Amino acid sequence: MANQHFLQRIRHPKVYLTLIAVGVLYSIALSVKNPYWGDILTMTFLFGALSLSWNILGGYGGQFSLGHAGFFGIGAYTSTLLLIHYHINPWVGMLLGGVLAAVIGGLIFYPCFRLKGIFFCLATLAFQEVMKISAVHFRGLTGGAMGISLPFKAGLANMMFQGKTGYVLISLTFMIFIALFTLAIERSRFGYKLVALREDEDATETLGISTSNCKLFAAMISAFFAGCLGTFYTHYSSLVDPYSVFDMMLSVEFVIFAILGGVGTVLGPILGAFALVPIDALMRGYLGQAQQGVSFLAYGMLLTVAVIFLPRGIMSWLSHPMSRLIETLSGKRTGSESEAGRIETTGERPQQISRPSEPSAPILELAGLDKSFGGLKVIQSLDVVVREGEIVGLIGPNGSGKTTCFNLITGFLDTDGGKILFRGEDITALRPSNKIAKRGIARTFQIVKPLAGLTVMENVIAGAAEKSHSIDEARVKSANIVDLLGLWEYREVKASSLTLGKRKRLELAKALATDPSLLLLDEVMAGLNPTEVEEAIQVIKRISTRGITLFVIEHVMKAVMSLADRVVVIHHGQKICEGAPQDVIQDKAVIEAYLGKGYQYAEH
Amino acid sequence: MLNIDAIDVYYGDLQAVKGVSFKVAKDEIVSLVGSNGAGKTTTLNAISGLNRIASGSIHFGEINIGRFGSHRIVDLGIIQVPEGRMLFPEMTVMENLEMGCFSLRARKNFKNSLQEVIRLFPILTERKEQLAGTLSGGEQQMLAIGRGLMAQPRVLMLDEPSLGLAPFVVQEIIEVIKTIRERGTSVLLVEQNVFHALSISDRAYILENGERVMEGKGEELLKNERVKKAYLGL
Amino acid sequence: MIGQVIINGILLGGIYALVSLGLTLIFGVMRIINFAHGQFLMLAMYATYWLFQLYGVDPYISILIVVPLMFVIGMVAYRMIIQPIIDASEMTHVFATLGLNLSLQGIALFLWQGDFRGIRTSYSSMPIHFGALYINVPRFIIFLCAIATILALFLFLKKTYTGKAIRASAQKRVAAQLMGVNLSKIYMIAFGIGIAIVGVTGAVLMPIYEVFPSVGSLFALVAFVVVVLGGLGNLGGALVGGIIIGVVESVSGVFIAPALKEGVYFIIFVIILLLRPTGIFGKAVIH
Repeated sequence: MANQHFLQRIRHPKVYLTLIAVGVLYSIALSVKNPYWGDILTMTFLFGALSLSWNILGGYGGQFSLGHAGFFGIGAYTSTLLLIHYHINPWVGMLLGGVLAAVIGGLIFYPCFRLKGIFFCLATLAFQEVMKISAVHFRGLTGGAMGISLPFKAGLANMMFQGKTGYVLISLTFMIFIALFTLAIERSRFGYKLVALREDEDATETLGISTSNCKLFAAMISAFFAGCLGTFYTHYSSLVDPYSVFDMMLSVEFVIFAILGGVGTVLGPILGAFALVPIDALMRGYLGQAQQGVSFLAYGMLLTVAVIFLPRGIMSWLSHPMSRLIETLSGKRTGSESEAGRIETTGERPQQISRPSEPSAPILELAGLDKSFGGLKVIQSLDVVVREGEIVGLIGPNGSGKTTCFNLITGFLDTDGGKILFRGEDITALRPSNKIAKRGIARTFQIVKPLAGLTVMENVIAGAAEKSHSIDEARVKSANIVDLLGLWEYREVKASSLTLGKRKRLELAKALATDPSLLLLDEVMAGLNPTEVEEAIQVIKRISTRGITLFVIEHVMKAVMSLADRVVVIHHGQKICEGAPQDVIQDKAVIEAYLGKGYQYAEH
Repeated sequence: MLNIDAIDVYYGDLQAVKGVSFKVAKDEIVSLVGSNGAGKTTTLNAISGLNRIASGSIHFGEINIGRFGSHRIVDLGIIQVPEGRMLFPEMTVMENLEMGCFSLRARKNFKNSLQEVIRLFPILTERKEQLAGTLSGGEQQMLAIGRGLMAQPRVLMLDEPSLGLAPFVVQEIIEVIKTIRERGTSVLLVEQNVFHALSISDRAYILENGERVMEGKGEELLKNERVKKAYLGL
Repeated sequence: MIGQVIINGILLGGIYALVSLGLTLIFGVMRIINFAHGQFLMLAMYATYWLFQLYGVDPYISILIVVPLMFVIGMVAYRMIIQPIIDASEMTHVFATLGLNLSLQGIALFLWQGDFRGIRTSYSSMPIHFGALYINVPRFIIFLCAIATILALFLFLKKTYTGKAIRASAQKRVAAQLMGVNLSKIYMIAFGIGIAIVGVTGAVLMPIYEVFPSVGSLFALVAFVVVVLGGLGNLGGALVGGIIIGVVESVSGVFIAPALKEGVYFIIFVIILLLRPTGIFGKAVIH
C-alpha cells in the first residue's frame, strides 16, 4: 500500500523534475575539481541557503529584516567558541549556535514586530550594528576586530576538507534541505497563516490567527538556519571576524537575491543566488580592483529596477510556463489537491437548521456602549441584543457609527465605556483581537480585504487554518465553502483579479471558513448590481440555515427588507428605533434621520 | 457653465459613477443629493481633477477639462470645499486663507478676497492667528468655505457642508451659500441632508448607486413622494 | 573635564542635527525614508574635496557651488526614482532607495576607489579657548551652520508661498491639491531642498572628516536614530535629537568604553522605537 502510494507520487512531474534537478546539482558538485569553481559553487549554494532562510521570515512572512547577518554571525561565533574552548564537535556546535540565534532572534524581534514597515527594518539594522560593535569591543571573548582563526583539521566530523568538493557538497545539501523545509512550510497550515498575515495583518487577526505568534515562529526558524550556516561559513573560511559576518552588505545581498528571484517562493532565492553570485565572482577575476564598485552599482541598479518593475521577481515570469510544463507532463489539470477536496464534499450535506420561531438566547449583547474620537461622541450608550439564529439588520445614515460598532465588537477598537457580551462572556477587553475571532465571531469588511496575492482557495484555507486540525481537513472544509458560495470555477484565480461581486463573496467565504457562530456583515451589498444583490441575498439565506447568527449593516433597503427578522436603527451613535423592517422604515424619527428634519411627507 | 456629460468614474475596481450627466449654469445653486455610496464625492473629485474619468466629458464653458490636472482646474476657478473640511490643522486661520489664494490668478486679488471673506465670516478676524485645528466645528466649516472663496471661484463645489454641525450653525451656512450665489458665484452642493439641500437649490439631481435617478427644480422635488422612496432605496 | 566632554558632545550633536535635517524634512513632506541619504552626503563631500583639490576652493566658499548642485541632483533623483513609486508601498520605497544607495556607492568606488581622502585647511584644528575649555573651530562653525540652516528653513517654510505649499502638502495632501498646488512639483522641490541641506553638511564636514565611498553609511545610521528620536518630520526635533545623541555618544565614549559609544545610542534607538516610535516630541508635523 505504502509502496504503491510512493510510486504514484514519484510519477508526478513536480516530484521527478525536482529529483532530476537535485541529481544534476550533485553531479556538478562532485565533478568540479578546479578550486576556483569549487569556491564559486560553495558561495553560490551558501548564499542560496542564506537567502532561503531570510525568505521564510521576509518573503513568506512579509517582515523584511535587514539585519539577518546578525544571526549568521551569532551562529559563527557560538560554534567557534564552543569548539575552541570546550572542544565541542562543530556539528553539535552548529545546532547549538542555531538554537542560540533562534532564541536571540525571538527575544529581540518579538517586540519589534509591533513596529510597522520601515521602523522594523531600522530596528533590525540597529540589532546587527549592536552585534558588530559588541563583537569588536568584547575582544576577550571574541578576539575583537581580528576575530578568531580556526585550526585546520580535515575530516567530515570537523567540517573541514582538503580541496573544495566537501564544502560544495555540504553547502548544496544545506540549500536543498532548507528549500524542502520551506516547501513543507508552504503546504502546512502554518504556511497559510504566515502568507495571510503578510497580505493583510488585520484581516488575518479577524480569522482568529495570532499574527504575533506566527511571526515569532517564522523569525526563530529563519534565525536558526542562518545561524547554522554561519557555522559552516567559519569552517569554510577558517576565520570568524566581526566585519565579515556582521556585514550590512551581506544582509542586503541575500535580500537582493530573494527579491530578484521572487520573494515568497521556494525557487526564487535559489534563482537569484544562481544568477548573481557566479557573475559577481567571475567579475572579480576580470575587473580586479574595479570589481567592487561595479558590483555595488550592478546590485544597486538591479534592486531598484526589480522593486519598481518586477516586484515579484524572476519567478513571476517563470511560474506560468512552469505550471504549464507540469500540466503537459502530467496530462491532467493542476490543482489536483483541491480536486481531491471537492470529491469528498459531495457526500456530506450540511445540516439544515430551521429558523427559530420564538426568541432564543442572546448571543451578542451591547450594553451602554460608548466611543469617542477626539471630542466627538461616535457611539453613545448603545444597547443592542442579538439572539441566536436571528438575522438582525443595523441601519442608519452615513456617519451614524455602524462600522465603529463592528470594530468595537471585534476588538479592533477599544470602548470608552459599556460592555460587550458574547454568549454571556464579557469580551469587551479581550485582546489580542484574534481571541475574539477564535470565540466564534467573524466579520467582513466594508472595504473588502482579500488576501490579494493568494488565490481564492488559498484565501479560504487561510480562514480555515486556525480551527482545523490538519491541512487536509482545512482543504476539505474550504472546498465545501468555496462550492457553497459559487466560487468553485474561480478557486485558482488570484483574489486581486476578481471583480467586486466575487471579492465580496470571497470575503464571506473566508469568514465562514472560521466556523463562526456569529457573522458580522458590513455593507456586503454596496456596489453590487441588482442581479448580484439578489444572488447575495440567497447566499446569506443559505448561511443562515446553517444556524449562524447574522448581524448585518446595510444601506441597500431591498436586502434589509428581505433578510432581516429585526432592524435596529442608529443615528449619531444612538439607537433611535427597533423593530420589524416594514415598521421601522415608516417611523418618523427614522425618516427624519435619513432625509433631514422638517421634511414633508405624505401619510399612508 | 459647467457641463458634465455621461461620465464614468472608477474608485479602484468599483464603478462609483455610471453615466452621470448634469449641468450648472451661472448664478445657480444646484444640488447633488443621494445616500452614502451614491457617488457624489467621486463626482466632485472627478471635476476637481483628482479622479480620472473613464469615459464621458466635462466641459467648462467651451473648454474640455476632463484631462486637466487638479491645479489647472483650480486656475480656471472651479473650487471644491471638501467633505470633512480638510483644513491644514497646524496652520493658522490666516495661513489657511492664504493657501486658499495659492493659485496665481487668485493671488493677485488677495486683499479684496480677504476683505470679502471677513465680511461674510467676521468671526474669522478674531481667530486670525489661531491654529485651524483648534476651532469649533462650525468655525472650521466657515474657514473652509472662506478658504474656498479666497480662490476667486466661478463655481464653488461644497461637499457635505452640514455634516456634524449643530442645526443653528447649519442655518448660518445655508444663508452664506445663498449670499455666495448672489455675489455671482455658482454653487454645486452635495448633501445627504435632503431637506436643506432641496430648500435652497434652484435645481437638483438625485443620485443612487452611481446613477442619476431623478432631477428637477428644488421646490418641486421637495414635495415629491418618489424622492423619499428613491432616497431610502425602496 | 565633564564640561569638555559635554561641549564636544553638543558640537558633535550639531553635526548629527545637520545630517538629519534633510532626512526628516523629506519624510515629513512625502512620507519617504530615503535609504540613500548618506550617499548624497558622500557625493557632497567628494564635490567639496575635488573643488578644493583641483581648484583650490575653500570648503566654506564651495557651499555656493555644492548646494545648488545638490539641489539639482536631488530633484533629478526625485523625478527618476522616487516619483514613479511615490504611491507604492513602504517596502518599495525602502528597497528602491537602498538600490540607489548601493549604486551611488558603487559609482564612487569605481571612480575614486576606497582611499580615504581629506583636506587640510589653515583652521582645520584651530581651537578657541574659554578658560579651561576649548572649542574646535570647524566644529563650532558646523554647529552655527546647523542653527543657521534650521532658521533659514523655518523662515522659508513660514514666509514664502512655496514654503507654505510644502507645509500644506505635508499636512493634508488632497486639500493642498484642491488649492491648486502641483503636488509632484512641490515634492520635487522639497526633495531637492532636503538634498541641498545635505550639500551644506558635506561642505562643512570636509575640514574635519575624510571622505571615502562608504562614509555615508556611518552618518546615515546616526541620522535615522536622530530622526526617530526627534520625531519623523519634526525639524526642531532633529536639532534636539542630534544634540542628545551627540552628548550621549561623547559621554559614553569617555565613561563607558570608546568602542561601545555607538552601541549605546543604537540601544537607545531600539528602546525609543519600542516605547515611543513617534519620538520625544510626539506626532511629527512640519510647523
